[in-house]
Amino acid sequence: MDLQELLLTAARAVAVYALMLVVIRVLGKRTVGNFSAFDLLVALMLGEVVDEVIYGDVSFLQGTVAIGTLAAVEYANSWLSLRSQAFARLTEGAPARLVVSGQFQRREMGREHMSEEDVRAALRLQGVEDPQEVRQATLETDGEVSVIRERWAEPAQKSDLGPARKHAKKDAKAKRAGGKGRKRRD
Amino acid sequence: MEPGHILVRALFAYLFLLVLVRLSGQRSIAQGTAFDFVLALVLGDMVDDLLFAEVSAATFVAATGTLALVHLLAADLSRRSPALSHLVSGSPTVLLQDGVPNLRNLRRERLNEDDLEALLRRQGVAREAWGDVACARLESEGELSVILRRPRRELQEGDLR
Repeated sequence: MDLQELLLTAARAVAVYALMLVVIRVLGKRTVGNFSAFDLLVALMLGEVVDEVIYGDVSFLQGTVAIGTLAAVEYANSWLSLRSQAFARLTEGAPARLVVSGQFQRREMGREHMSEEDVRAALRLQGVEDPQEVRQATLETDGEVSVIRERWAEPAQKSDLGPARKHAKKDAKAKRAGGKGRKRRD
Repeated sequence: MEPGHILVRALFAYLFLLVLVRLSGQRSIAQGTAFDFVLALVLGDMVDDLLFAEVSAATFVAATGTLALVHLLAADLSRRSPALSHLVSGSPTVLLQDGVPNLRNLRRERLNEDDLEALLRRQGVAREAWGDVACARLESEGELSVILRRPRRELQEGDLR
């Protein structure tokens, strides 16, 4: 292995770096890894092709064609998903409702091969122990479970203090004077 | 091929990549951009050729070292120049403002309203609650950040005072 060969390898690495940068910027934020299982696969495919190019197992032209084609198909896919809902369903899958208003949706769960314990674990990962707190839990297209809580189970919000904030100082004074504090509304 | 050689090469690749990643200062791939993620995949893919002696150790070091060096250089340069940073990692895109979807930006990211609904759902925001959102941005990591309007944001210590 002479020096020239090593320099060539380094040069190919630089060129491939630039190529990947362009491809990923063009594909945008939605791609590569976090939208659906297939986006992840595309990222893996790109990665597999790239190392062959850097090592010189395939020519730079061949590598560019391969990467360019994968990127073009991925771009076309996301473009078509934007135009057609049916196409999006076909390639990305549809989200599945696992829990609605505290009730496990057995049919949907069965279709996604999830047991009640699987769903409970997914809820726990979002900090929910009791399914009754869940307004809607959804298995998203990338396999993660999103949880929307019932209004009463959400963390307290500023609006829960009620509209009387203007009088907060007066309240505090009244409290100090031995008056009852305002009761928290549901 | 002798198994002993593979063992030595595997150890070497592991240690070399470990040093490379520590030097690059990357804390976690998950925090990085899509590009960081693909780069990590590429580095991982480069190892197997070394393990099975399809390339020499020198080639492996030259290839992975160059990638890491260029990446470090790009990060350093974009730290200094906002314009370059914008070019390399993109900038946040506002997808929802004051409860109203920004259709132009959605189209630019090739997202439809179902996608936006799913992104917000992951942050615990139901469709009916879109009006509570002051601003939702797609950050360059590809994740959605959500800032709620003041009455709807979580109670803060200061609200009780």
